[in-house]
Parts: sequence; structure tokens; C-alpha cells
Amino acid sequence: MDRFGGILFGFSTALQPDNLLFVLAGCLLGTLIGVLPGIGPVAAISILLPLTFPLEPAGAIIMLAGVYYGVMYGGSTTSILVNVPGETAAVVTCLDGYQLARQGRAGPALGIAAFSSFIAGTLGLIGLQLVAAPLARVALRFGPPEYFAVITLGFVFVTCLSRGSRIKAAIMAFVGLLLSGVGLDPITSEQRMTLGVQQLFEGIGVAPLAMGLFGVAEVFRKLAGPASGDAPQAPIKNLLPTRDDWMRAKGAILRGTGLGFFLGMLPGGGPVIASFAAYGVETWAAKDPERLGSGAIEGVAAPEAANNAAAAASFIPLLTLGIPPNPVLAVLFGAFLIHGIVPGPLLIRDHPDLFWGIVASMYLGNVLLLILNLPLIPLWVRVLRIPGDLLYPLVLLFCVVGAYGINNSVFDVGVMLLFGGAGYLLNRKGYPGPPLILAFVLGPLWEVNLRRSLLVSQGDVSFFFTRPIALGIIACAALIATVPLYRAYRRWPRLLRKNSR
Amino acid sequence: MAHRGRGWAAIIAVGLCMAGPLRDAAPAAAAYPDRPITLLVGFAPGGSMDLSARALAAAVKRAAGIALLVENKPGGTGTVALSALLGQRPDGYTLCATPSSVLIRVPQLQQVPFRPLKSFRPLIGFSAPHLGILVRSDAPWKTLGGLVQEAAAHPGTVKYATTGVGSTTHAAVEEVAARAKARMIHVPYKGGNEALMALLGGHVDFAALTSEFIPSLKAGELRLLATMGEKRSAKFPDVPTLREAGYDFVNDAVFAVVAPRDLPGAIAVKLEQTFAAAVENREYREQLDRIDLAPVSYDGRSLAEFLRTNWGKINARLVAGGLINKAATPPD
Repeated sequence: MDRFGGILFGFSTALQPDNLLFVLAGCLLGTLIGVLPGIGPVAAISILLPLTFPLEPAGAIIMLAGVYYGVMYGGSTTSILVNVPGETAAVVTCLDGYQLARQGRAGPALGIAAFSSFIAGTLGLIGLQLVAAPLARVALRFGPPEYFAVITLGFVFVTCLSRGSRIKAAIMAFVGLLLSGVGLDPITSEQRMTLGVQQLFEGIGVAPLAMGLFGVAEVFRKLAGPASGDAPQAPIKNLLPTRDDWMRAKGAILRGTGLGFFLGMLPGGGPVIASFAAYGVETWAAKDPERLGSGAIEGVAAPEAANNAAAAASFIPLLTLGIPPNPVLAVLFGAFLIHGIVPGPLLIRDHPDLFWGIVASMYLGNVLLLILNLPLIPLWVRVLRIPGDLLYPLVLLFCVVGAYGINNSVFDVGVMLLFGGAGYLLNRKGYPGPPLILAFVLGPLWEVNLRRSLLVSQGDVSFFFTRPIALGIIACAALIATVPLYRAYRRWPRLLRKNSR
Repeated sequence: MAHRGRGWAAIIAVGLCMAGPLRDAAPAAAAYPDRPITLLVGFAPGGSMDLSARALAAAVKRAAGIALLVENKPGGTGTVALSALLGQRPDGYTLCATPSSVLIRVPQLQQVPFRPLKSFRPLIGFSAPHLGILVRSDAPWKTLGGLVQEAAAHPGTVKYATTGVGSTTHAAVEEVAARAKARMIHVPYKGGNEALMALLGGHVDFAALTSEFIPSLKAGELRLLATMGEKRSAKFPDVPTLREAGYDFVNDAVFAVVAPRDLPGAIAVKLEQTFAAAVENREYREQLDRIDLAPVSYDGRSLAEFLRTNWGKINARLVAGGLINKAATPPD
């Protein structure tokens, strides 16, 4: 069966009434979980998994997959409305999304988030359908040195990631790195900076950290501000993206999709890293980088496209190699096994109905999600009309419940509140949160791959120059790092002239 | 009113507790269990620990009609759930399902609030992952002996991946290497899937893995050189064990159920019998096979023995490897 015959066959599975119902149920649940802060796709799918035991394998997997990409759609909503990331892959969406909402443009932000999710999700699926197997082989070629190079590239973007003081951004990135070192050493399992606290053995959770630093800090800021004198939200202008928004966003959507697709396939990658990287690329690609962070539509489009493309692409290693590249897919892997199906190279031969049925259901799910999400926009925008005195305590309540729900642990709530307080103070002093989060997310991967590289080479650092892919990426990073220097060098004469005048 | 009701319940409960020691144990055991039993699991739902605990719970329900409710308490590499068990009353209504490694390896590397060999009463070892040493199917080595010979002839060139430092898989390779006086490079990964990817991608020469290898093996991408159990695995009857391959030792990990230490004897016996009957269940065995786990049946006594022996073995390897000077947590 060729790829096109296969997908038609797949639709015949996915369009069966009960399977259609499972797609819808998965997407709805996913959106809901995405909207609620704290609990992310891993926890949600884990909790649902036992409930799917009695179902047919196709229905069960279709529903759980729907939850996964549904979360990617829903996660941006609270990021945009109240600066609380609905889940970790939507952290970056806060940066510009929330600024847009404050300017009365929550509608277009939500709209572009939904559209770019749809476009990227669909393109990602086309990629999955056409080139899954060969691409998965390429991804396997990525060894520790290549990872290290890619993540170094990510760090170079940190310097582009924030406006304002570069030094303050760098300080925050180092704090993020330091915080990411808390927990057991990834190579030797020794304790580092855990203070003997058992809950810190596996490190600080990224969800409570991000919710604290962004959402809770924002709540504190609102509550500390003048009770009634706080400037009201700008009046709500329009509900859908304008022509101008589209013109600005289209490049970002395509770049985000491409990057997200690639990073989604890599082991240890996935939507979170994809969304950060896509945002970094936008700040670098923008003609006017100052716009990003102050409410640029492309700052919403790129990460939302990237996390959806990554979600679609992360199915590739699971379905073609039988290897889950990230924790969400690992839970889905368990779901396959429970139903007596072994995902991997033989899946498409032994269970073509299932393989193509899943792919087809994801096409359907993307359409359903778009249809679901667009009519909700006016409703969401109305949330912003709730008076702050009422809205922000509610937001805090949802954050606390969400943080508790991740591991049923009060400790996580404490972590979130602690970083909420820290975020509030840092924000007042002009220290930006995004570099901290980025370094926190990338740090552990960076470290472990550097150390694995050095283990393999027995301490010899020449491996960066003998492996072509790694070398290429490192060269890119060096280039990107030097461009701002070059620009600054070009600007010098003008600055000097201005000053001498 | 509801408040007062709860107060009364508390008073009655306290009364019963105080009366407990006075009563004969037999009627208590006869009445046990009169409500569902909570089974703590120290890992997130969907992993092999969780799935096998749920399979066990279903088997117990089928075999004895007793309800076991799985409650996931992930964190601290599985130690959070065991620590939570520490604070529970030893009434048989709270148990914990855990991989043996959380009682053997983790406490040696990290300080934990419990005494691994003393704080709990082992009840059953109910399932085990398949453990094996694998190379890619295009690798030159057809036997473990050939691979190890090459490693011994060229010290420091053969690289291998495992599921982590001090893991059961790591311990096995170290043991082989020590016996053959071969020096190999260990590249630890976080869990079996990452290690498997490193092997498939050719970033290491071989890997010691748990059940994750089975799909790729079935697809013909890997070659299984040895399994680590006492006998040949029923799933891979043509593959020699480590012992048959010339390395006289067995390397096992089991998923176990433990209770608080002071569990009354009658209740412990009842639970052991219930579990022993449950793991014979055919549906349970089929379910285990689907999630690529092997059924085992250690009773409480043999499980305790297993833990004690392996504590010593793993301790010797961690110390020899320079990872620890002595165990971070005393065993008892």
C-alpha cells in the first residue's frame, strides 16, 4: 500500500462513528487540560490511560493522541489572557501574547495561535505521512556531540531573546543554568544542591517554576499595584487577525513549523524546546528585533506553530522505530503495549489500519480543533472584562490547584509561590524571566550531552571538529553570535558622530 | 452534623486501635480486608512499574475479589512512595509496589528516610523486566565472548550504553568486564529508551538494556547476545544466559510489593497467599507478556533474601567503581 492509498484507508478507520467520537473527546479533553495551568499532557494521558483499557486499540490511541495535540492548542489561551502558561510548551507564548492582550488585541493573538497551530499541525502530519521512516533514521544519527551543538545554538539565541540589558539577561540565564543543576547528577547520580530534600532529587519542576515566574508574579504585580488606579485594559479592538497580522505572521509560521518538525523528532526534544527555539529564531530573523516581547504577532505565531509541528513529528520515532522521543510519547508507548501492539518498524506492516488510522485521525483532529477554538475566542476575550479584583485571585487559585495536581505534592505549590515572589521582585528590577526559563530547560540536555561526548572521546575535545553535522551547527552558532557584534561595529561610527555633534 | 459524625468515627477508630493488641489476631485476619487496599506506586502512570502494578491489582481482584487501588506518588526516583509508606499504619490497607532497585541501589546513592532492609515487610516479587546485552544486527560480534575478547584486546575502545550508573544493567556489564579484565567505556543514559537510541544510532558498540529492546529485536535491528536470568528466557529460547556464555552469575531485578514492617503476621500470610494465587492467573501472565515483562514469584522470605544478597552485590560494585565510599543510607 502506497502512502496515499494508505491515508485513504486510514480515513476509513478514523471516520468510523466511534473513532470520530474518540477524536472529538481527545481534542476536547486536550484543549481543557491545555487551558488549565499546571497539569500537562504527560499527567493527563497517564491518568486517562487506565480508562482506555477496555477500548479497541485504535480508539484508545486515537483519543490519547488527540489529548496530546489538543493540549498544544489549548496551552496558549491562558498564556495570552493572563500570562499563565497553560502548559510548559506555551511558556514562550506569554512573552508577546500577554502584551498583545494588554493592548486589547487578545482576539488576534488567540486567532493567530489557533491558525498557526492548525497550519503547523497539518504540515507536520504531511511530513509524517510522506517522509517518516527516512527522517527517523537521520534523527538517529544525532549523537551526543550533535545534541551539544544544537543546544549551544539554542543558548546563542538567549542573547537575542530579551530586550533591555544584555548583562541582566545573561545573569538570569546563569541563574537558570544553576537551578537546572539541582537534583541528581545525570551521569553519576550524586546529589547536587538538593539540601537533602527528597522532592529535589529529580530537580525543580519546570511547570511550577514557569507558572511562578510568569503567572503568579503577574498576580502579585496586579495585587501590589494601585487597587483602582491600575490602567484598565485597552479596549478590545478586533477578534480575528487582520491582514497586516497575517503578513507579519506567515514567515514565522513556516519557520516555526520547520524547526518544530525537526526538533520534535529528536530524542529528548519535543514541543517545549521547539517553541523556545522558534521564538529565538524569530528574534534573530526580525528586521526590528525590538518589536518582539512588546506584543509582536509573530512572537505568538512562531512558538505555537513550532509546538504543534513538534507534537506531530514526535510520533515519527515512535511509529517507525518504536522509540518514544519524549515522556508523552513514552506514556503512549505504554498504551500501545497494553493493547498488545508493538509500535516500531513492523507497525505499518502488521497493523496498517492502526498506523494510517492514527495519522488520518490527527488530520481530522486538527480540523476539529480549529472549528472548536475559533468560536471560543470571543468567549475567552470576555474573560478579560472580569474585574481584576476577582480575576487575579481566581488565577492564583487555578495556579495553586494546577501546581498541586502535577505530582499531588504541596512542595510544588511552595516552589511555584517562591518563584512567584522572586519573579515579582526580579521583574521590578528589570531582570527578565525568559532567559532563566530557557537556560533551565536546555541546561540539563546541554550538560549531559557534553559529558557523554567527553566520556566517549575520553576527554578529547576534537570531536566537535571531526563530526560534520556537529561542526556545521557550531559554525552556525558562531556566526549568529558574531552578527550582533558586527552590527554593533557598523553602528559605532554613526554613534560616534552622533555623540560628537 | 457531619462534623460530629466524623468526631465519633475518630473516637471509635482510636478505641479500636487501642483494643487491637488485646484481641486475638485470627478474627482480625478473617475480617481483613473489609475495604479496598491502597497500593502506592512510586512512578508515573504508564511506565512498566505502574502497568505491572495495575496488572497485579486486576489479577488480585479476579483471583480473590479483593480491590487494590493503585495510587501514583512519583518522585525521588521512586523513594517518595516508599517514604510515604513509612508513615502508614501497618494494618494491611496501605502497601507499596516498587522495583527492587529503589530498595537496593537508590538508597546507596542517596540518603533516604527509610532503612531499605529493615523498614518494610517484603510480601511478593511479582514480575521482572527482561534484561539483555545487545549489539546492532550489523555488528561483527556473534557472541558475548567475542565482544568481550575484543574489549580485552583493545582496552578503552569498546563503548557501551546502560540505563544509568549503578543500574542493574550497568552492574552486569561491570561484572563481565571485571571477570575478563577488560576496560570498556560506560556511557550512561537516562532510562532504556535513550540508551536504545544510542545503540541504534551507532553511538555505542553495545548496550545492556531492559525490556525496551524487544520491539527493535523483533524487527531484526538488534542481536541479543545474552540474557541475565537464572534460566534461558522463555521468550528467547535460543539466547544463552550470562552463565552459559561463560560468566557465572545471575543479574535480576524484580518488581515487588512491600508493607510497613510491623504488619501483623496473620495479615501478612493472607496477603502473601493472595498474591501468590493471583500471579498464577493466566490473564495476568498474558498481560505481562504484552508489556514485555516476565512473571516471577518470590514469596516474602525469598524476596527478603533477594534484597539482602543484591544489596551486598550492588554495594561492592558501587564502591569498586568509585561512586561511593559507603552506602548513603544504612541498610538496617
